[in-house]
Amino acid sequence: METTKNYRINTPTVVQETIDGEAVIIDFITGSYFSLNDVGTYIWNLIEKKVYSSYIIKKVSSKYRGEEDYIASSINLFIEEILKENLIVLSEDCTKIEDKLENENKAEFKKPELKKYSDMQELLLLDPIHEADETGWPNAAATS
Amino acid sequence: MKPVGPMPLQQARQPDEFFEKLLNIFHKAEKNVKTTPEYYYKIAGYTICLKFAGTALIPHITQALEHLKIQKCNDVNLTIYLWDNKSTKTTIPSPPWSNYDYKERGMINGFNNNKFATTYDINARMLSMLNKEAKLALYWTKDVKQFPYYTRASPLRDILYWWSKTNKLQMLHSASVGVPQGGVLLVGKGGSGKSTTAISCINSNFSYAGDDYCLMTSDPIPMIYSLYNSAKLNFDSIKRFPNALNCVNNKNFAKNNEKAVLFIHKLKSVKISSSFPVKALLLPCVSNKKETSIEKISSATGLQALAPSSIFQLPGATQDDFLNISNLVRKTPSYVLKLGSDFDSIPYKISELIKRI
Repeated sequence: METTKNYRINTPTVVQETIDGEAVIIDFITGSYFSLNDVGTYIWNLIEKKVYSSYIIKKVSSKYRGEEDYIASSINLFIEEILKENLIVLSEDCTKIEDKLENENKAEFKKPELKKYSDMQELLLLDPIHEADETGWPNAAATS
Repeated sequence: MKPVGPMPLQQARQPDEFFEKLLNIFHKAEKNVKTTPEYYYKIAGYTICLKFAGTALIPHITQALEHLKIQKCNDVNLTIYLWDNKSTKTTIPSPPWSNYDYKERGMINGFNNNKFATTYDINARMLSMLNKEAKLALYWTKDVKQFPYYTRASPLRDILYWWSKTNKLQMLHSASVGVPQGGVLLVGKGGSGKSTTAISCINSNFSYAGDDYCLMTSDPIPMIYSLYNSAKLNFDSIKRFPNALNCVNNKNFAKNNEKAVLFIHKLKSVKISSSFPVKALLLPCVSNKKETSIEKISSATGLQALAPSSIFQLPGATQDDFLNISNLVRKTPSYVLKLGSDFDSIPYKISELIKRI
């Protein structure tokens, strides 16, 4: 992740809720939905607050215990993954949050995980190409 | 890139004009058939009136709503006009949109805005259109014989979804059973066991509130409101409930490779409830044990089971739907219902849970 690039949630296409530390994300365009583990949710919430990318790794490193390089590379890969899924987009409008970096009682760092579910996509498929009757109203395609 | 700015005036007027045209055709249909039955229902405390031109559509529409039927009433919140071309000997004009304007879930480009909501179901060949301001809706088809069997189970779903939003109700893809003190939502994707679980409860002290869709409010406390008394079961499931076979609507379902559509109101001694407080979300899943068990799961898992399958089925669903559902899940504990082979234990376990919460 280039620390000069900043990101935001791809609203209104993507909606999300974080409940009890777990994020549930829905993409209205593709019909996919996603869940994040706790580390992924933490990063996601930082992006939601439009935190500068350069600050995300610092925040995660202060909250979780682990090797710095491993944390940084994991976060980079995670950001690439959610960017590829169009869950986030580039943003010029970012904020610097003033809250202090947490350094006490760190939990062990686990790789941020994104789980994708595509079983609902068929509900968003357009109907197959259809013909219209003599009054212009469509009929379902013969194969459907 | 699409042009931005105000819609051309001609295009902006189209839904209004089209709605007016169709309403006039409905009135012509009424005159042609001279039989214009009216049906009234109480849904979530609101009165809805169905005005039919002729009787052809009645068996397809009213059975699933029978349990909510009331006497004629003046304080109507929504009036739906229903007719078909064939039996009323009417025709309607060609659609004022092109083939390229059909979007996902049957939505019509240019005919869904703050005032109107419109879908055309290509498979069922039926048009649903709601004027939100006037609280009037149109439901038209060319020939009722073209209706797929499943349309009887959840009739007028699109219109009732849009209408419910105007009254701050949220439609859910969920089954629901309960007792007066409270009930549960059975959530999850198709095939997870929602319908089977709901039907297994109907011979116990539970009331049935629905199989596929229901309405919900979450403030001040989560409440569920019944919409349809129907249930759809596949062949393997319905074999487990021989009594239910008597109220199957599509008798040749097995031969036609369909699900059995049942109308629960036809089962004597089964209670159907119009509403109750929601105590829990249950995610059914089949286990390989005899006894049914229940385990707590995270609210995020509950949200994941309920929200996508609800939202992606509802035409025009937005972030508001997701937020409403999230609000419900925040207030309601979620559990997995591990279904055992002993079906008699299912209602007992659910009843125990409701008492505990």
